[in-house]
Amino acid sequence: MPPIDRVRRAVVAAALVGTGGLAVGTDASSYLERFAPLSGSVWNAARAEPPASVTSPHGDATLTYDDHAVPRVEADDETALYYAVGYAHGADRLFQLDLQRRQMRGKLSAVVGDATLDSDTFHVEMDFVGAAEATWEHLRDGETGTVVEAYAEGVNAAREDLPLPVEFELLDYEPGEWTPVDTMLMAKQISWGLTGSFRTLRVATVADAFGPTVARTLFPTRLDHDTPILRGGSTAPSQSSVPAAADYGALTDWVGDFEPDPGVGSNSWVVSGEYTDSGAPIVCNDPHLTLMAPPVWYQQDLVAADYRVRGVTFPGVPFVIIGENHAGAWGFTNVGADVLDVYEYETRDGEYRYGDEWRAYDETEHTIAVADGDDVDVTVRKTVHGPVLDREGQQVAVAWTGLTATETTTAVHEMAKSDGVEEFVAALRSFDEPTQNVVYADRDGNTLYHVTGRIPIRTVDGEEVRGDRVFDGSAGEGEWRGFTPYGTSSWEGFVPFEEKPGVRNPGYVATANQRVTDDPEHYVGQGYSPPFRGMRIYERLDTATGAGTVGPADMRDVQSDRLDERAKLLVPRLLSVREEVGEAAQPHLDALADWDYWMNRGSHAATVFAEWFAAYREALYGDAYEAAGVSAGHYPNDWITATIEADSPWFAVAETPDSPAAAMVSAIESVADEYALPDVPAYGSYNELTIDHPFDQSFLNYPRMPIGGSSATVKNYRKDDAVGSSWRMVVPMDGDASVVLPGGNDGNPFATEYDDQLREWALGEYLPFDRSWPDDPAVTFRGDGA
Amino acid sequence: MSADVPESMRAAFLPVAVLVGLLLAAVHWVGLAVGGALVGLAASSTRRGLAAGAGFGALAWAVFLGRQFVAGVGPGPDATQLVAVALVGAVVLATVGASVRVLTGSTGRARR
Repeated sequence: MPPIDRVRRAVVAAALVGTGGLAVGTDASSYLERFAPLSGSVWNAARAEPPASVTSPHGDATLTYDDHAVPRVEADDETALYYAVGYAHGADRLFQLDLQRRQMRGKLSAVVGDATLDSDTFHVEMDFVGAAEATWEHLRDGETGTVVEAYAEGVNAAREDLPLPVEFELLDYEPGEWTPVDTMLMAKQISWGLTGSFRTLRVATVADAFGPTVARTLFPTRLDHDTPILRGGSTAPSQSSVPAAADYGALTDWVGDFEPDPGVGSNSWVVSGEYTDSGAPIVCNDPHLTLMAPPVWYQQDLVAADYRVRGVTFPGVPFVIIGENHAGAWGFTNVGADVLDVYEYETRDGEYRYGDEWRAYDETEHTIAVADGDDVDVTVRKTVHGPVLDREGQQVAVAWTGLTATETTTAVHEMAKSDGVEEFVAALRSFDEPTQNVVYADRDGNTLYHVTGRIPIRTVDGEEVRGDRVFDGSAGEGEWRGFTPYGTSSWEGFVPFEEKPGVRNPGYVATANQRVTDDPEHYVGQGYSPPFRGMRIYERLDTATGAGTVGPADMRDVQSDRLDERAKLLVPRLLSVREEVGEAAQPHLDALADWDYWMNRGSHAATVFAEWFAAYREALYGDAYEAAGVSAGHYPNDWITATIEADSPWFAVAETPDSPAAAMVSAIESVADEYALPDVPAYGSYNELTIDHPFDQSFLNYPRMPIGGSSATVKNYRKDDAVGSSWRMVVPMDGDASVVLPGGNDGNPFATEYDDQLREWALGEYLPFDRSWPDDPAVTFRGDGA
Repeated sequence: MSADVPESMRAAFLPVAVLVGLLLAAVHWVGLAVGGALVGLAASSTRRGLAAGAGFGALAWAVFLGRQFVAGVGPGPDATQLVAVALVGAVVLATVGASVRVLTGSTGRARR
């Protein structure tokens, strides 16, 4: 997840100290205790094997691993099943579990030091823990609560039975008990990483720097393309609006480190049997998340008395989130819905006005422990709308749909057990966070696309309005009816499930985080991704289904598509001004003229384009943003960059280039200055796959390898921030399914299965979803009474 | 072990020293030094003792690699730095342990 990606950088410093002899500052005795041959605790942790038999308070179960360390857990009783799942997560990913919850609890600095103090401060101020506790209070007495408790017990049993993973030895601390609230925190973390966007403040800052007209140009309400997820709606241009101009730069620069990474996105599509070779639907999904070692996902295969489910989950969450069960298959992509609002108030000493009364902020004191440093006290302040964030006098209260009791964990549990599309849809109704595009197909031939997650309806003076403004909290503007921060919400002021975009039994639907529909019944959001991947997937599906029927191999081929639609738009424009380009860059233009726009490993033109696009973007915005004192985190997205024209109001701003053409020319000449064409590396060398462990040590990181694809291609890899396809899945309802992880399922860096799928993943190859399992379980769980 | 101890007794003591050293080293890193000391004492001269200590350190390292390999848990090629440092640590510790031989006997040069 993106937040983990940021944690990675901060943890590196601590790890460098923690890895003993690899750095100065650690005494020899400590080093030898960890790394001495034979007795070193690191090596012992690496050799940890679970006991063959474990007593379970919940009944019999078995845990068996295949050749890729994917666990198959079997039990008749569901609590026994999830106790064993917890045991597997605790055995295979315990450090990942602890790192994630520490981040969300604001407790990283306690083991890492002051490098993570900003992260801890943000997470404490947002009080995600309060929201997780409210969620647990809401769920604990239900069926899902019972299962989550059993899962937590299983994690703790593994924590006690097995040597601690290597990372704990390196950082020299022991994890505390895993709790159900920690599992709830994982749901908050996932949701925040996908929907916690302060886009409104960012656009307000741009409006303040360059004026509202320019802000509307760079951040339009609707991107001007005709490939939404649900095609065929109105294509009339919509009215753009921007928030009132105000400088929130200090605040957005700070929270920017904890917002969803701009690269987070995903692909999914479902093709009905009408268009497939077998006559049965196919579900495809590859979520693009932070790539790290070990992966964000954990693959598991569960067999209960009355259902079977397999797929991936986030370690810390018991249930399969993406995958298939006995009845159907499903996948998710992020919607980009606007589920975070900000409020400002009239204030006076320690109070804010709310309606006719002055209220004191709800304040609590919190102490952040810092390893090798002084503790830091933080005052957490809240209003009726939510937590208050404040930097350099820029202050807002935040309402986010995840800051209340949510039922997503129940929904995911029910999805795993669902017996076809009707039960699956029933489960989706309680999928409160995050807002997701779900595609589904069942073995009866039904297909489905639907938007999930709570979407607030805002009103000002009784009129429904968009959430793209800073609301006057004192006047009660834009409040979410039925929303209780850190409590249980009734949700009556939110878009009803039936009124969210969706379609039953579509021929095919492709989602790639682009705009959902041209004419939604209610405002959904504006933070959609550029449509490049969506355009390409639809182009491929249109072509393939127009020519005949498709099979799983065709779908896998689409997941590996590396045509960059940005290049398709921009290279002809660049070539049209080639007479203005100097001699040194002409060979580069020749290479681009002969190029098919595929970001292939062996292509030199792809490298020229990647370098040129980055230079073009900088040429368009860099000087003007710097002159205005606005950071690069406020640049518009690649669709705007790829389509901006000479008549855009942007070019009237001081310090901008004269025109797109001028920026294109200067950009290609700067690329030529850097690389004479024979020296331009092949794209695979330039676009080197870099997937690192949070400690960024060579023996923990994944091996480097060349890879194709870009941020805009279906086969997605973002070189700059290591975001890409975090799981690929092609699941036909009749036929062999295939999947692959970017790395391996085992979190033990010394195990073969730590990275045994990496090569296949990088090459666009797959493993069968069906596995063979040894006869003897790795662990047999015996009930207390057995 | 005094310099007057017969060679046959030294030869018999050496495998015992290696075994005990490895067992101790599997429990605590001090075992590497103790093992080095034991094999050092079994040697007929200080120089040979120091060499035996270094050899014991290298052996402990090799046994460690074999144990990890059999368990199927690396360390892999990317852990070269760690493994090299572990080798150096083992050899240095065991050689330092073997230097106890200085206290008990003559140098190799004197014996010749």
